[in-house]
Amino acid sequence: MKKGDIHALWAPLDATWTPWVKPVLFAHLDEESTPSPVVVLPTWLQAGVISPLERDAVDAGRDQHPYRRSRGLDDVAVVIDLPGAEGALAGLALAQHRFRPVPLYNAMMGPSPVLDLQPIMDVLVDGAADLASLPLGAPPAFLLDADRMGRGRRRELGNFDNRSVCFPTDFPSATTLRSSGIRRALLIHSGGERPAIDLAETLVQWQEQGIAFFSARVDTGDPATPRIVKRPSWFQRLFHVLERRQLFRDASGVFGELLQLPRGYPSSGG
Amino acid sequence: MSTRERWRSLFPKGARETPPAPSPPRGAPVAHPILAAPALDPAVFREIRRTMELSHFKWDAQIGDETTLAPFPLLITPATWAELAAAAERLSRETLAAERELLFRPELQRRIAVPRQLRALFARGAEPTPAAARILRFDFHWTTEGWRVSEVNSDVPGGFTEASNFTRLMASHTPGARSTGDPTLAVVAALGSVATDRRSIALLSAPGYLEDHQIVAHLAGRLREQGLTAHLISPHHLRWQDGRAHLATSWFNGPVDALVRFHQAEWLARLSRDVAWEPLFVGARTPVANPGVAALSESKRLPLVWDALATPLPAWRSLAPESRDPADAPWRTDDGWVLKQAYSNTGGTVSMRSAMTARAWSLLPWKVRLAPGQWVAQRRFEMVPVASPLGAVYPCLGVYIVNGHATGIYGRIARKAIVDFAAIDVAVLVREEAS
Repeated sequence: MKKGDIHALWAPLDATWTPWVKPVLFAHLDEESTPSPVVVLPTWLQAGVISPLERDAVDAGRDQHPYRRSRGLDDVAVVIDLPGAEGALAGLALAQHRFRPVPLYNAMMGPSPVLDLQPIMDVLVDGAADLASLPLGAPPAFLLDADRMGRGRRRELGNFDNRSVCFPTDFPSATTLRSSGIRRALLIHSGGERPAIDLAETLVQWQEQGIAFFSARVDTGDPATPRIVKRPSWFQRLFHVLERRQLFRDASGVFGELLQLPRGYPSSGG
Repeated sequence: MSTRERWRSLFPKGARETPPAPSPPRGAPVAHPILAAPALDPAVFREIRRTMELSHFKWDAQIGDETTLAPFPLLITPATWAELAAAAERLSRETLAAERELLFRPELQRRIAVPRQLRALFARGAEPTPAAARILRFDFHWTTEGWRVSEVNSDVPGGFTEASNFTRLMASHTPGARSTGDPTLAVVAALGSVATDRRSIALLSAPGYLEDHQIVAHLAGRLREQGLTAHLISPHHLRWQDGRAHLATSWFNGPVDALVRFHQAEWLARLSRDVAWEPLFVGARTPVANPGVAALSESKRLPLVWDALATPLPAWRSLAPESRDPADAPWRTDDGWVLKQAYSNTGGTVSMRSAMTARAWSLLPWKVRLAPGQWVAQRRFEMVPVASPLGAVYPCLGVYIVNGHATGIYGRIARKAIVDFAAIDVAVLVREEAS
């Protein structure tokens, strides 16, 4: 399968959420790849995600409108923040429930990388064909690598430092989501009660503009439940600054700069 | 050789004889020299975007809800391109002459906010590291007073993949128009001419900054097309032996012929001592593009010392708006002034009341008070918008100079009268004249 064909299946030209698909890992694929069968898709989605969200829709009367009844979970945007290929596989599993996975992996591959992104790239290749029949307007399932900050990863001289963070500008705004009928957002994550600190700002913005927030935890098996996502405390933000300062010292000083740049990924070059 | 003699040798008499720049038109211009063409067919444009993303390292084509590639080109006449190219080449000569003088004027370095670590480095008197190529980009705006230059990106100018590939792709779908040139090609040719021993070049950028990776990856790809070996590295991969750059990475250990530095000088200066960044500025034999001395002309406070320089700067004086120390400008009460940090990029610290939230504006005086020597007040010019398929937009035409010659344009448009990191990239094409 050609690189362009793989990208076209994940990001069809006319699909609603294609503009947000990050192209980096697709650009790093070989020109020709041979897909392998996708090994095992997660099985917890039906009980942990789909059923609770459907129940919530019924309880809240969202599915009682005759024109809404057939839309199922079309008012849900999912954010999957799971480590490595686990998130990409969860995205493929959600595609079976008519969600369109939107890869937001925003780091490059290189020689001796701190984060090995090859397993994610393999899923992009192996799962592409499974997306062919998705409707262009399917609701989004944004895919992030929970290991993106490389916490606990050993970094040595000569490593290719491909740690990254996400920003609100990596996602559509709440206005855009709402204009596409999105009213609920679900975070699927693991490892803690709270969203990752770099992701929290996005979720808070969505919530403040009227998008109901749910979360589901994979590690504890907690199903999708309504939550209030809170803005990280000053202490947490300070900790995050210090954490990035630590990265600054260990590598070449860049992550300390990121917090000074308010939005997006402004280039260091003019 | 004394410092004065060295200064004279680096700054020969002829270099001072910069021809005067043409006076820009005064008063309201009769016609805008820039025209927006109609938007391309959406399907064609989406294919162009995909090509940019998959093949040309354009990995930031979406910021929030905004697509950062314009679906239409801007058109200029051959005469306008000739005028801009000539002006940029004059500005380049003046900039490099001023830079050479500043290298031996530590008191002026301090006034223009050159970082302390760099001032100390330059004060040692070591020879500046030679240039593998000298690349600058001058940002032109059409205003109610004619062309104005807001700044020069002298240290690490970006925008290559957009200026080269996006422009070429848009030109191929715009009948009767052509590109102004390919700046990447010019840079690759310049680097190829110095990388003659091993045909190997290392491209240095800051890890974690995706857009910077895009630019070095783009350059690396074009270097490889020319048969050169290109290594993407971070500062901590660098080693120096007898002034020659070596790489110590898990994939390659050994010397390289030249370095491309896509890592701001002021960031390098903050790195710890175990990172060997100083030879990028002085004392090395391996040439660097751009060499670290470019930090001197990158400062946005440079206009504050024009009068103290022996270097004549007629083109700069003609085309740049007035600049003052913030203490000497009524920027708090007069919206006719904007503030910039001495070392800032992509307009991230360009501050004007009309483009800021009330809270951000209220914090600005505190920021300036904390580091008054790091800011400059620039008299605001009145940009003239262009009617486009996106509505009224304000264009900024960044003219590249590579080794003294104008080689192309990086176009950006903004919906407000400030061109910052949220600006949209646009192809700037030359209308073919009817025969």
